[in-house]
Amino acid sequence: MMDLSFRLIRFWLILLAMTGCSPNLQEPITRFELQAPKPYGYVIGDEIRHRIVVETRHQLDIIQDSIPATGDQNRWLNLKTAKLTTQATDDGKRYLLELTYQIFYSPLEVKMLKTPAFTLYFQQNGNKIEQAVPEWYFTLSPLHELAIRKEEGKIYLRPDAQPDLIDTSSYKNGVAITLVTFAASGFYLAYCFGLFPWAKQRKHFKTACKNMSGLTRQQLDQALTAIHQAINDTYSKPLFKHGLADFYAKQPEFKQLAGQIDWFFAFSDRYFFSDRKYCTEEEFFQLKALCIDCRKIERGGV
Amino acid sequence: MRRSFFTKTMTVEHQLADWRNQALTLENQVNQTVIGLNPLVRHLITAVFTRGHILLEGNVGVGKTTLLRALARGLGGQYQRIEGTIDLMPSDLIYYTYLDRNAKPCVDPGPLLTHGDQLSTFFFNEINRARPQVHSLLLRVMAERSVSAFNTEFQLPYVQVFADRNRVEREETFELPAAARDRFLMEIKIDPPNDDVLLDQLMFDPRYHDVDKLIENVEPGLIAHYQLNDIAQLIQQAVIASPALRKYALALWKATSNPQQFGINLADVDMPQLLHAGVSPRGMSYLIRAAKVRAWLQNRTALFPEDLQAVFPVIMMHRLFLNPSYAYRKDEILPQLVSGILNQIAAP
Repeated sequence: MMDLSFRLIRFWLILLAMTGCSPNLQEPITRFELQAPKPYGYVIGDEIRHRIVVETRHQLDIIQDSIPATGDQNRWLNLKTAKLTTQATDDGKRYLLELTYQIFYSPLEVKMLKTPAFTLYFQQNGNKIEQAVPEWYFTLSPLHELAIRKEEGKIYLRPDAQPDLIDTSSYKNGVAITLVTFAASGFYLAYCFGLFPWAKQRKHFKTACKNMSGLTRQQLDQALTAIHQAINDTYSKPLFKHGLADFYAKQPEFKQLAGQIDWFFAFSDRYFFSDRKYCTEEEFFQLKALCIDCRKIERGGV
Repeated sequence: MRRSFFTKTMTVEHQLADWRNQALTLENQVNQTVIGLNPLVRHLITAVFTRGHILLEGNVGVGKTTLLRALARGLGGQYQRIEGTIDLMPSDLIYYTYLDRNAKPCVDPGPLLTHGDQLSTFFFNEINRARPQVHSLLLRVMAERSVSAFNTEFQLPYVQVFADRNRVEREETFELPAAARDRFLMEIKIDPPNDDVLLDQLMFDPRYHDVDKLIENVEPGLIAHYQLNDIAQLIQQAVIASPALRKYALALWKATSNPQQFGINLADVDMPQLLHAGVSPRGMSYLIRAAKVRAWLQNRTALFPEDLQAVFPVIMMHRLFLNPSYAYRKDEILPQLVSGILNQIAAP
């Protein structure tokens, strides 16, 4: 008796052990789900987005050609996008296929339509596995009103309501301020560089320096005349020594050169109206330096 | 020979320096006597050493007579004054007749001849009230510094005429003709000072209430009037004008005839139709002579543009004759024109 019991227990233990050692026989496709939006309330031009989720075991790969090609599916349905993403899961793979359809059908009354069915194919070691994606039914509404109002036998039509515009005033102001800033900077630079034909006063000393560049101290009268001309043009009338105070009042930026300018007028008076008809190399250098300094002020650089 | 020239040059320089010191001393003393008229006094000193006559224009009581008496006191020589009236005749300037205590008719020299050749300052008050015949006699005295009377030629070598024209009253007056005005070196308008401090002094300082005592501040005979003609000539020879200055003066002269050619434009004025006559050669000669005196007073022997500019308005203003259509606006136009000329012509 004891022997028989022992044998039964041993049999059941062996049977249990065999059961635990046997391989897991997993289905190739463990999950299929078609996620679709509401099946009603569509009109011509609307888009319908489908999400198809397929979870498979590891070795199963989707055959790309089984994914519907974008483009016209029939005379009124267009597949705009078909995007496949693959994710690894604990048990295998998850395929997420996102399809976007657009409807080009204008029914005269509410009508039921369907997206076409298709089949997704998977393969593993040369074996194909199919997963059918069923048709999806939805209703399409006409664009005109339900209670058709007719005037003189025509369908009452009206334009769409104007959409609310996005407030772009802040962007416009920003653009305007930027443009004004750029324009003002450009004008100021052009003014400083004397590019405006009506602002010739900004080029007086530039011209004088240019005229003086080739002169030697034997051509002192030309050098003095060039500087006088530039000063007169800056002052808008002939400037004499006794008018320097008024000149500094009207052109205060030149006051910093008062010492040099006073020296220039005294030197010029002696040369033109007295009996001193020469100048030293140092004095001629001073004249050129004065012209260059005045030019810097003219350009607003000092 | 060289030493002689050097000595002579030094002598002239010293002479000019001494005279300049005397002139500036006189100017200073007159300025302390008649306050607030410094630019006018500088013009008068300039005129004295230019040997030119002055036409003053101003309201009554602004100090014209005091000024001239102070100046005459400093100049030395004799001072004579006459009032212009509508019944004044040329003979009234030369002689006057009266009966002496024995009822014997007598003829005595008039204002022009009383002091003979020692007359240095002759003040003709309200000249525009006198008749043109009187103007005519005065013009000869001014131009030739001589006068004929009693079949005799009387020389007035040091005389300097200061005439006054009242600008307030125009009735029963005889406007000076252009030729008469051209004989005056300068025409100066006198306005009372506008400085409140000076006006306060004139009102409340007793020093300015007694004119006779006031002018005693001026040293009598500070300037030897009988040497003025010589020193004036010396100044003209000593102060030189460079070619650049001559060019500038010529441009000024031309601008007084054709201002539009020098870019001078005045508002509401058709410039080519503006002037009836520009400045005469005598006017330009006066300008240069007065400018040289001004340079000498500035202690220079070279004529600068600023010298011409300083005396240009007082010498030129009464020598620019406007066309009749603009004559009624002369008080507005002439200062603008003179200012426009000075502001438009550069040197060099």
